[in-house]
Amino acid sequence: MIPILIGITIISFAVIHLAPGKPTDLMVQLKPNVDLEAREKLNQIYGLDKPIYVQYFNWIKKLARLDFGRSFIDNRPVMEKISERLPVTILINVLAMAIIFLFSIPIGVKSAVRRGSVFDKTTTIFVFMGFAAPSFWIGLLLMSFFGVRLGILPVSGIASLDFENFTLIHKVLDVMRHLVLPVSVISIGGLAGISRYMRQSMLGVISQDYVRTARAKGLPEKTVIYKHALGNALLPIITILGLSVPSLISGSVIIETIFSIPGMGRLMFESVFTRDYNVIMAGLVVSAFLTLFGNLIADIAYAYADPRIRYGK
Amino acid sequence: MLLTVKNLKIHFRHDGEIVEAVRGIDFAINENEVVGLVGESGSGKTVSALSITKLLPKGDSVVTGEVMFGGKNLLDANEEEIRRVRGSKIAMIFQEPSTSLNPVLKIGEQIDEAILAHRKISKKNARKNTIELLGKVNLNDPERICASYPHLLSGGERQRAMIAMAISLEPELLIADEPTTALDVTIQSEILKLLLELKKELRMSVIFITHDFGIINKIAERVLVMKNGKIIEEGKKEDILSFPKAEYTKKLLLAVPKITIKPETREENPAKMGRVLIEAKNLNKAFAIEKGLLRNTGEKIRAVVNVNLKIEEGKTVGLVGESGSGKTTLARLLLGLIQPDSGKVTIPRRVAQIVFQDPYSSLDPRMRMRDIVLEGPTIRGASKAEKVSILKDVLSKTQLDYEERMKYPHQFSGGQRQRIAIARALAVNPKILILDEPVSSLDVLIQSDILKLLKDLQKTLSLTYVFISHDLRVVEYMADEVAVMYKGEIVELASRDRIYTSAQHPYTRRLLSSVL
Repeated sequence: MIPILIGITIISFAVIHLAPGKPTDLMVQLKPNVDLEAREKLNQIYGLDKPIYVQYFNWIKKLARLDFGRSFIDNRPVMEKISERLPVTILINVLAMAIIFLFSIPIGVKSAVRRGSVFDKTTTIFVFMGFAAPSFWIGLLLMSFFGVRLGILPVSGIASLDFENFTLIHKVLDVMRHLVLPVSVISIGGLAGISRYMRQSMLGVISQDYVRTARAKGLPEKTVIYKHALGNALLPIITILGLSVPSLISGSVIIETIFSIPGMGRLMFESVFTRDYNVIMAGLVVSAFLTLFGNLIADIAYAYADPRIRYGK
Repeated sequence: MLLTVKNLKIHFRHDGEIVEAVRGIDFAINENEVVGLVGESGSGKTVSALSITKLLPKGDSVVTGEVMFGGKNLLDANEEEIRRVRGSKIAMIFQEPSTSLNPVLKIGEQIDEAILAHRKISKKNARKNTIELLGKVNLNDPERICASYPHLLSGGERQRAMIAMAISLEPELLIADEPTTALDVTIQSEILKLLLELKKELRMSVIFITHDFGIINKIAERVLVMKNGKIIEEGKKEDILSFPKAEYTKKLLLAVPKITIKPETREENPAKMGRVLIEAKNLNKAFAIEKGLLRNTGEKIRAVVNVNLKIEEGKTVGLVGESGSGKTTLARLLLGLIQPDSGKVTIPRRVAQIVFQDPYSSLDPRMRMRDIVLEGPTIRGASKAEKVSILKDVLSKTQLDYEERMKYPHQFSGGQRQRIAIARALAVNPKILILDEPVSSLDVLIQSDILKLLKDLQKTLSLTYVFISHDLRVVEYMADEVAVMYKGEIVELASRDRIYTSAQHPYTRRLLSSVL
């Protein structure tokens, strides 16, 4: 895992630094009286004049002490910036993930068991509509309906203005109210994939010999489906769960922008435009770590769920 | 009369078309009798058996007729009524013990739940019962089996566990659908013996579905022969085996491979050694066992151990042994598909081809027959005209229709597909064919066709064969020399006549005595 992580940092470091533009450009761009000498001096201060591999080694030396450096924009420690943003993004995505799985698994199972039924067909249509519709559009629709027309849900941010004065319960409720719309938008988009996957996996399992065996021994249909079939059909879903971690941050960019939520997605997006090297790199390290960690968890969960992996063959 | 089936018809909806799989069959099963249901794949024997307890997939099939059991027509029974019959009154065992057990549940749990589905007893008592049952089917150490997942057991152990599950509620009728087809011969005969003992002890009736008359001879009292969804002959076992009436039954019986060598017909060929084409010297190959997550145990399975083998030009060497004995690994070593850990294979370059067991999975489903056959010549740079003549030539040799060259594998039958696999091998003009269980997954009639084809090809093209099989009857028909493999070693290597008349090694004798 560690070598992969280092590999990722090397490649991203190279790509980011090879892209045209430097963080110092932004500081001097609109100031015509800054001459070339001053620019070079600025680069020197930030160490941007050194060869790229030297810069990389300096960066990774600091990383070993968990020091991500400071932002080029506001000179705050990157660690601080990320630690205020990351929890918001994780909270939104974990909630969305939970909702997606809570709904898509039963939907998938039911469509598979009653393949070709009215239920199967209607859910297929709705789920695909949710999948095909762009999330910003759904976001805007929900905002205008629930936020503007009905006026029952807030449409931006994650907390009300006078948040500081609320009691704890009130605070939690307030955040929840703010999260309803963004979480719904992510869930609607994710529902299609997972429920389709679940349906497909379930269909494959239902025609397996051991499901027939379960029926042949006279088990009630519910036990056959939920114990024998579902137990096996969930295995590939575990992998999907691990694979969906990377979309945490990338998928959040749009949602966080629409709902003006101060999360990682937006932070990364803005940092790329301002060439805020340290923030970009820190964000990439965090998301790479989350991805690898997610995969590791998925592997462990898979081994736990599937005895054939656990014992080897 | 325990079970009476009247005018049973089964239709399948398939891509908008309606296919009649079973076309009105009648039969009855008495108490305490074993009835063999024989037929080729596609004859409708398995679907008929599944329809008795309404186990066919609901949406796609229509079953009509009458299945009378215990004074009731099971076809009219509702979900709960049929559930109460399944397992407790009519139990089933299936062909593939490796896929018939749920891979994520322990054996003990899978048997417990069968008992608990029908009896109101505590989990603890059910487990006691389960352990007793596992002992009854002659499994050593029932506690260990109980706590094991299916993949940790051997094929024979799994099938015994399946049988324990099936008899757990002392059913009146046991339907066994080819329960020994996927097992090695020695285990096969043990399982048949066990089934007969249990049948006597529990006084149950058995419907035994098989395509193998050898099994019928051993186990059945009465026989039903099915073809194209109809029962075409019915009678006592002795009558059917000795005086079959229907043409089809006669043909089936003739196609059954038999060991024909008798001691007196034995003719010892004087040692006239031809040119040695393939030679293996002190071959060794071991595979590492991986256990758990990312863990290499350092242990190794020795798949091929000190194998020495010489194969003469134009001869057939039969390679016999049970699954896991190293036959296939040896074949791959001979072909150079894998490298030996030590030892040496001498084989002329580019003249060996292989034909695999399962013609369903060994042909690329998205390639046309023509392209499959011509892939070898294409890689070797044959011109267009050459390819056409090669195609025509090998298709006529394997009795395939040149007009069908643009079809895909799924449009051919199993036998035709195996011919395609052979044509593909012949297309590069080989001297040696390695045949890895080439007829094991085929029906007897097709099996005998393919074997005859292989013999003819050997004569006309003077091919050298390495014929791998677990079926001693087939090997006897094909081989000049037989090598018996056991745990990676060749334990006996002798001329065919010697092996079948005076086998030396105890394992060879055990194999021979298991032949039905």
